[in-house]
Amino acid sequence: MSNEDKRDEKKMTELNEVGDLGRPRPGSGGRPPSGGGDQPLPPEAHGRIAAQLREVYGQMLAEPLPDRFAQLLDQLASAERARPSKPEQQS
Amino acid sequence: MSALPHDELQRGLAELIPNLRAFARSLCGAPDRADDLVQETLVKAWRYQSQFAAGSNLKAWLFTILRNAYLSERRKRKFEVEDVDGSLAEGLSVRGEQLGHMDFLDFQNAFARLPAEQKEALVLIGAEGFSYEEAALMCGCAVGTVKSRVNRGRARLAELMGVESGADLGGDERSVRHASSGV
Repeated sequence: MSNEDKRDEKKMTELNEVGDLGRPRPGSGGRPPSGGGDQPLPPEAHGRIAAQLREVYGQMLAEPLPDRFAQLLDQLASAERARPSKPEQQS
Repeated sequence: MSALPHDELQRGLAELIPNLRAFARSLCGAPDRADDLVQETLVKAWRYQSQFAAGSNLKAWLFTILRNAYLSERRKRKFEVEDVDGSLAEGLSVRGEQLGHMDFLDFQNAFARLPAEQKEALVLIGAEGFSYEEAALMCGCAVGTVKSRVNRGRARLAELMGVESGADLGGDERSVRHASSGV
């Protein structure tokens, strides 16, 4: 059990390093396709998946915010100010 | 445990709204539903703010509230419709069920097909940069489970997108077509 965990740990560390560099390692073509199991991907495929995930997620982060959230936070804050002090004790 | 002052909490929540929206969108796909989840998360965070310890990770706390809200909403929906993961109700443009070798999905369509726990693990680790330990705490599961979900998610994405090493490194028509379609 613990040996397996350690092996997983090592693999993940390797993958993270590759992912952070964002560069595929040469000579990775010899490994068979993973076929949807829980084995880590070959570095080339992993790098591309990781980059696309960050890109798509980054696009969502950069989307303009609708006003409703700022308004909601203002409402919550002003409701708080209107309440009697020590609200924790009342609930 | 000391709570965060109200103005600091308000500022912290405001700063994290883009992250909450992106996380919610990643989980449920539909923008309207995702924004409702964000709203629910903000209201709950405000209501239960005394449970948040100042100095601990606000983003992790908010993400935990959001994923719990998502999961409980999904459990309720399960009784109403057969479409468990909501992908049909959300009108996601998913192509035909039988994917031929020439018919790979783009990232977003491939991602939308993953089970929620794989989406969640991929976003927390691969996009938000949480550690496996943090993600395990947030998801209420073992560290090894998070790792396995991340690996399965990546493998499934690679399969659906046709970026497995075998298909990708051969320099055949497929990968050329795939590469040029992104322009």
